[in-house]
Amino acid sequence: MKCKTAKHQMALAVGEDLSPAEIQELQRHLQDCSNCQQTWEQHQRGFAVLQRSRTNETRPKYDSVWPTLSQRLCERDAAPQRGEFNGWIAALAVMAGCVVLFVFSIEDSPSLDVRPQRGVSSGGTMVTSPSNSGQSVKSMLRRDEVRTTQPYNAAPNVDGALRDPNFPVTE
Amino acid sequence: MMTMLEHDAQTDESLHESSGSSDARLVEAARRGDQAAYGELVQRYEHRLARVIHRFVHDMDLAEDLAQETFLKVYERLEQFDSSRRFGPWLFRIGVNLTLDFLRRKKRRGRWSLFTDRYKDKAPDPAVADPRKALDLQQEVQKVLQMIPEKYRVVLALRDLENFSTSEIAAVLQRKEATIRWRLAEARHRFQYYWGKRHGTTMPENFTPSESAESNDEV
Repeated sequence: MKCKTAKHQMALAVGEDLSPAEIQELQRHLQDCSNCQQTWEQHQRGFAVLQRSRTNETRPKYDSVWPTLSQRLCERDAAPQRGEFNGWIAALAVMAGCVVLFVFSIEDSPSLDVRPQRGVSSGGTMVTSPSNSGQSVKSMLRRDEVRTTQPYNAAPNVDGALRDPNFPVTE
Repeated sequence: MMTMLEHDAQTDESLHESSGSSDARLVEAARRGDQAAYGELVQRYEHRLARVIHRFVHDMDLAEDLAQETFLKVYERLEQFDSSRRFGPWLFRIGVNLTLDFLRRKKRRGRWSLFTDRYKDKAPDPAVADPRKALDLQQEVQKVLQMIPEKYRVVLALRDLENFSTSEIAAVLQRKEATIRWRLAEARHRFQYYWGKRHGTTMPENFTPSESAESNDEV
């Protein structure tokens, strides 16, 4: 047996936690190893301290917990018990609410392609904005009509007449 | 040469001191709603449980409160109890875990406090004579036990102070008996080391609490 193993075994032997065979093996090692004999004496002293502290201590007298405990158990049994699946029901309700909110939020959001710009007509219908609130609806509609029949970027047809081959060229 | 110190026989109570079949019968009755049967179980174990809890919290009222909480928890979990196993280790497992959880929460709460025992212990008032001399043996042993990491300290307290067998501790802590024996050896080494350090007694050569034991914990 090596000294390292012997030291581990001594810590167990001191509290009678070794088998008779292990004790015999340890005893053989101790007979030949003075260093481990010293360690063994230290272990015995340390263990004796623990045992002395245990035997000297005054054991506290405990009151029985049963009178209070039985009262608590009666109160507990009398109280309405929560259903076993109440938590699941609540969780399912929250999940269902989330799904409904998600579906509505998708349906309400307009597509990016057809989103009208603020204050600009779309398909002949005027989209009003707070900045237009001072103008009459009629004047706005009239202006909108003009815009749709003659776009702002349409140039007057002056050059077009010059480019017409049937147009008589006068020197 | 090898004189083994005897464990105190008069306090040698076992977790199966009362017959296991009797416990099983009472558990079955309690499951059916027989509170008197549960009361018998409580009265059978409450003093031992309170004493074990007191070993960790050092406060009688608190030990009684935690014992009561343990029995309440056990009652609520009776349906989960495996009737093929012994009731005692199961009860003590719940009690010890409840107590250790309580102490961990308390430690976390006090971590930021300037006035913890830890600091007092490290820096005694130099104006006062060594306060350790005023402490009796139990207090001094407690101080040394507090220096030992929890997983070793629990095993040491249950084995050497409460006289549980290593197989009972294994059942309570849900560890293999080999693990418990390893921890016990390490705990006794550490106790001896710190005791010698505090009291200036000679120590075994080449011994320092080794972290190598950590890797061997889950044997």
